[in-house]
This record gives sequence, structure tokens and C-alpha cells, in this order.
Amino acid sequence: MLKQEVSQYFSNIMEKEPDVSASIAAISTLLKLLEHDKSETVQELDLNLQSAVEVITNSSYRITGVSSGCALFMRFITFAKLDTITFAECKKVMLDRGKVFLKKLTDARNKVAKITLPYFVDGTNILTHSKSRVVLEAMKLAVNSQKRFHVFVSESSPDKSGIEMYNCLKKLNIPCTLVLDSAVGYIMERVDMVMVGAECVVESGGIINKIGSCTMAICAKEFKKPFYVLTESYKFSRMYPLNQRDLPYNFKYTANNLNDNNLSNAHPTVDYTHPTYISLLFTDLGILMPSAMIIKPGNLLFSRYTFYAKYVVI
Amino acid sequence: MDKKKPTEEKTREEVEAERKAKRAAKQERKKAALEKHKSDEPDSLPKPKDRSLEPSKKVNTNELVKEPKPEVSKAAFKKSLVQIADVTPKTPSIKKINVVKKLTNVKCNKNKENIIAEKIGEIQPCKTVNSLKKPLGTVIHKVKLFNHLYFDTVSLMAENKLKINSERVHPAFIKFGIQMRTCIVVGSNARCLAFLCALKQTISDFLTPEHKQFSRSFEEHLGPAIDYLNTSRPFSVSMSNAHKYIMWHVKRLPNNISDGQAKEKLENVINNYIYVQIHMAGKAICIAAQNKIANGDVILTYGYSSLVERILTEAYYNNKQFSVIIVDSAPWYEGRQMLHRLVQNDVKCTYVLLSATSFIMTRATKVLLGAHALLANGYVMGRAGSSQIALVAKHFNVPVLVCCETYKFTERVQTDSIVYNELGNAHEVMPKEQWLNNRYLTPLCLRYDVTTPDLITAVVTEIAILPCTSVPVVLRVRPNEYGTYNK
Repeated sequence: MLKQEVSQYFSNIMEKEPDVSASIAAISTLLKLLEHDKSETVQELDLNLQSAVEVITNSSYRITGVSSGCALFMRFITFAKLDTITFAECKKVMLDRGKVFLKKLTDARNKVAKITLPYFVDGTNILTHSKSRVVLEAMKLAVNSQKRFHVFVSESSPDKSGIEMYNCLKKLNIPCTLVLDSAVGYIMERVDMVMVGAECVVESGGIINKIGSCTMAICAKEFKKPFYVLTESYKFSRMYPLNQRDLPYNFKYTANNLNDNNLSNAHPTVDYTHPTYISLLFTDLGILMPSAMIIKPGNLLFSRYTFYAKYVVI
Repeated sequence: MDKKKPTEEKTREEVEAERKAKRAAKQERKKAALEKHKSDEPDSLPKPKDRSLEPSKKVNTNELVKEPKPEVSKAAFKKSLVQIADVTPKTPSIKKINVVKKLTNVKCNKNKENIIAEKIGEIQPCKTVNSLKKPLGTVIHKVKLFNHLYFDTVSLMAENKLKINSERVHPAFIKFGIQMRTCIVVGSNARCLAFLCALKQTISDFLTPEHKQFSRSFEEHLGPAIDYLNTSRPFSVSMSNAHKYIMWHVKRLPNNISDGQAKEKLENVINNYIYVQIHMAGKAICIAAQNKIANGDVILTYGYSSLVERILTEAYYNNKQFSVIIVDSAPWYEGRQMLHRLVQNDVKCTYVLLSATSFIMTRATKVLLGAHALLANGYVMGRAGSSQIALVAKHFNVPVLVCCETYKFTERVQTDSIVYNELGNAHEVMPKEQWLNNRYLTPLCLRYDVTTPDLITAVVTEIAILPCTSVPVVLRVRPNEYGTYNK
């Protein structure tokens, strides 16, 4: 598979299937590549996959969670014992594992929706920001389980993804109101909780999400309203931003902006929300405190990555 | 009235004279006390001149010379106590006599000087009596809250001499102990390295006694040395972790191993520990921390940390554009060493004292701190003053990074700086003459403090950049080689 094909396949999924997140799209692209790959050695295969990841991350889509998803995928498919068999068999094993992995990831969203359900109490007002598939899924499940609640959706400039969310909610017959981004402080006293998705959960327990989330989180903290984050565990990423300035440029700006080389006038698309503002994280691993993030999925983050990372460093 | 007035004046003169006499007596006492204290206090003995690394032999003789003094002074002290005790019952009569004499003096209208001369002679015995009421000479300078941190230097020194003379403590350890006590070797990393080097020498010079196993006899052999070091200065967390690790390997040696093999094995273990846990860990931390230094950063650091110095110089050589603010504090002024080393490498530096932190913090974009140890509850133990820095940084929303190798992580839990700390020499805070005989003044010199995890943005370790609270996770996944590992 050529680089162009990879990029085409990826953008195809991204455009045609709005229900699929970038990470899942990237992983299915990698699976496709694995299927059609003609490499003869593991080294070559690895190199191909790496270059494919590079192509995907350089695309014009928002790719905040992609790198973590891809890294997890690579780790997962190579986790099997691959020493004794031929390379063809080895590839088959990897492919099977990859498919299992993809299925696990797609199930994750339902799991999150299920564990969030008890938090929807009849008569609650919920504020949400931008468009999040997980939040939508959770609300869908809640409304199907005869819960009555009202949703306020912030418009979420500059891409107005909040309007998209608003329309989706309307389709589901959930009572909802569209509010301005600047009205977050105004509306906060009326809501009972804030529920947002995340593009990426970082090691500190904070999240990276659509710009405006941080404002909302600080506002919620001040009004003493719980700030819930719904996210799948494949969005856990091995990075540790210290503040907004410390976020990588390719997260903050789209590829087009980066090519312009004039970032002073560009609008950042994501921001970092500090863990102190987050009440709980709803993941497919369970409900976590942000401070315990590193401890609870320790199995995931530590035993699998840490020593890997250690060997890479040393 | 007329008659009375002069008498009153006279009495004033008398009072003055009395005071003068008292002063004189006091000064004498001071002198005596100072001399005594000198002989008692081991810390005051090694003068700055002797601070260069002396061969252990000389040290030995030094100790020997010191030894008899405290005993003599003790005996003298006891004697004086006995004398005082004898005098006590007589006090009222002596006082009466004094009063009578005073009166006669007044009547005689003698010269002041004469009176003074007489008074001194008379009052002297009286003084000794008075002095009984206050604890004489040995004014105990201990802050009650930190009572558990003081150790009785006199008795410990005597014990140490016994140990040293019994030739059971290897000269390398004696040297290291003195280097620690006199603060030639300071800093967690440096102390750990010096300890391991001394241990290596001990291992290479050790001979297994006949009919004994290497591992058991070596453990026994090392016991007094460890005790000796502990009395020189309490073990740092890094040292005790290293010690635990090495001893774990010693215990695991097979029974029938020959001396040569065992030594070779242990030497490898130690070298490996130094290389992996200290050197390579430092390198990994350098890489991780450098990624967090952006161009145009102003990095604030406190005191001296070998690791922070390494990070900053390496970042500079990797063409990062940043400047450094070094915050320093009394009594050790370790920041000067940092300043010296950074300036030597052409790093842009600003030097301020701790009192200017809140002013200078507005200009900093990041704070880098070294650490003595990381505790299991996420608290960071560092040089006294670092918690203030973290607090101010938090207030100004400046991210605080603590750089620490994982071998300094400990399972101890601590929430204040009182329970476990170390006392420095009080005379470093304030000249000895100013407080030694003033029982209302006790300087306190603490070496460490602990910082709460909510003031710290992240800890940079060789494993990853972590939040403070994940220390227990690291402790749990730390490789099995440590004796402390719990399955």
C-alpha cells in the first residue's frame, strides 16, 4: 500500500462515517495495511506501519487521540508469541489480534454509556460542549431507558460542532437548548452537571479536548457543579502537558495552520483541562478519579508501556 | 532625709559594683563553658583548613587526641557540683555578712574602686551559689519540638572511637563518615556514590574468616561500619536504598562461593547499580526534562542539585534558549555552586535570595527542583526552603517540576517536616558566641522539608513524567531486586 492510498483510505473513513472517531479510523487503516502488506520481515512490516502512522498524523484532520490509539494497536498486535512460526502465519496472528482489538475498542463506547446511566437522574439539566460521540451515545441510552433530562449544548466555535450535536440530540427527541460559548457562565447556575467527551486523556489525569472545555471546567468548579468526562480508554495517552503552552503544536493547530508558519493569528483547536477541575472520568475500565488515573489503569499504562519506554530510553 | 540620701546613692554604687562583679564572674563562666563546649562538641573540631580529604590515619590520631578531654571536663564538672552542694546550706549566713559589710562600707565612704575590689572578693562565693539556680555552663540548646532529632554527640563519639580503634570499621568508611559530618560530601547522589565506593573498597579488602560463609560474615563485618556512619550523619534515603539493594545481593550469594567470586559478583552489582540507577537514570531524566524546556523559558531553580545542573547544562548544549534564575538561601548558600557551574558553561543566570522569591516568580515560566526523596504519599522531601518555592510557584501558576531518580523513592510516609528530619549545625545559622550562654535563644537549623503533592505539577523520573501521587505505583512495579518489594 502506498502512502497515498493510506491517506485516501483514512480520509474516506473520516468523511463517510461520522460515527467513527479518528483513532478507530486510523486503526482500521492500519488493519487494512496489514492485510495488503507484502513485506517479508517483521522489521519491514513495522517500518511500513510506522510510516502509515506518520501519514495519518500529518493529515488535515484533528488527530489528537490518533497517536495513542496507534501505539496501543502496535503494542497489542505484537504482544503474541511470534518467534516460532513463519512470517505468513505471524502476519495472520497479528491480523486476528488486530481485529479483536478493533472490536474491543468499538465496544468501549457502549460500556461507557452503560456505566454513566445511573448518573442521569430524572429532571437534571446537563451542559455539554462541542460534539462528542461518547456523550451522544450515553444520552441516547439514557433517553431510551426513559430518563427525563434537559441538555444545554454550547455552540463551540470555530467549527460550530455544537450545532451538529444539537441536531443529533433533536433527532433523538432529547429536549435541548443551544447556548453561546460566551454564555457558559450565564447558564452554569441552572445546570446540575457538565458532561463532556475528550480527545485525549493525559498521564496527569487531565484531558485535552475541544477548545472551551477548560473554561467550562473552571466555571463548573467555581459553581461547584460536577464536571464529568466520558472517554474510551484507548484515548489514554503517554504525555504530560504542564500547561497550555506545553501542548504540542500539531495538537493545537491543524496541518493547514502549521504550514502557514504564522501561528500568532491562528486559533488553537484544543485546550488542556487540569485534573483538579475534573470530578470523574467515565471509561470502559470503570469510573476513575482523575488523580487515580495513573494508579487504576496502572496495568495498562505501566506494565505494558513503562518498561517498554524504559528500554527505549536507556 | 539628708542622711538617708547619701546612703541611697551609696547603695546605687554598690549595686553597680555588684553588677560589675557579676559580669566578671559571668564572663569567666562563659570562658569555661566555651572551652568545655569545644571539647564536647565534635563538629567544631575539624577546622576549615582540615577539610581537604585527609588520610584516614591522621583522622585516627585526631580522634585519639580528642578522647580524654570530655571525660576530664566531666569529672571537673562533677567536682564543682559537689563543691556547690557543700556551699548551699551556708548561703543565708554569707548573705547576712555581706549586708553588714556593705553597711560598714557605706559608712566609711571609701573609694568606689576599693569597694569594687572588695566586692569581687566577697561576692565570688556567693556567685557560685546563685549559679546553682540556673543550669551552669551547659545551657541545653534544644528546641523541644525537635527533641527527637538531637543525638547525644558526646556519648556517640566515645562509642565511635571504640569502634574505630577496634579496627572493625574500614578506613574508607571512617573517611566517608568524616566527609559527611564535615559536609565535604553533601547531596543525595554524592553521598550515595561515596557510600557505594567505600563499600566497594570494604568488599575488596574483606577476608572471610575460616569456617564461615562469606555472606553472613560480611554482613556481620559491615554492621559496626553502618552504625558508625549513622552516627556521623543519618543515612539519606538514597544511601539506605542502595544499602538494602546491595545487602539483598549479599544474602543471595551461594554458601559455597569463594571469596574471589563473591567479591567480583558484588563489585559488578555495585558498578551496575551506579551505572543504571544513578548515571543512566540521570541521563534519561535529562532527556525527559529537556523536552519540557521550551525556547524562551525562564527556569527557576533552588539551591544546588547535581541533576538539575546536568539538565540545564545539557539543555544549553542542545541549543535551547533559556535563562535561569537561581534562588539561594542561608546558611549553606548552595545556589552559589550552581551559579558558578552554570555561568562557567555560559548559561544566562540571575541570582536572588529566598526572600525575593515572590518578586522574581512573576518572571519565571517553569520551576525545576531537585529532591532528597519522594515519599509514598507523594510528598517530596527536599532541601529546606523548596516547599516555599513550590508554594509561591503555585500561587503564580508556574508549573513546578521535581527531578528525581526512582532509586530515591521510599515507602515512608510523612506529612510534616518534624517527624523525620535532620538538624544541621546550629552555629551555621548564628555565630556560637551569640547564643551559647543565652538560655533564651536557641537557633534551629533544619536540613529538609516536605512539599505537598498538590503544589507540584509533575515529577520527572527515568521511567516517565509522572504526577506525584503515582509514587506508590512506581514502588510497586519496581524490579524485584529490592529487598522491599512486596508481592
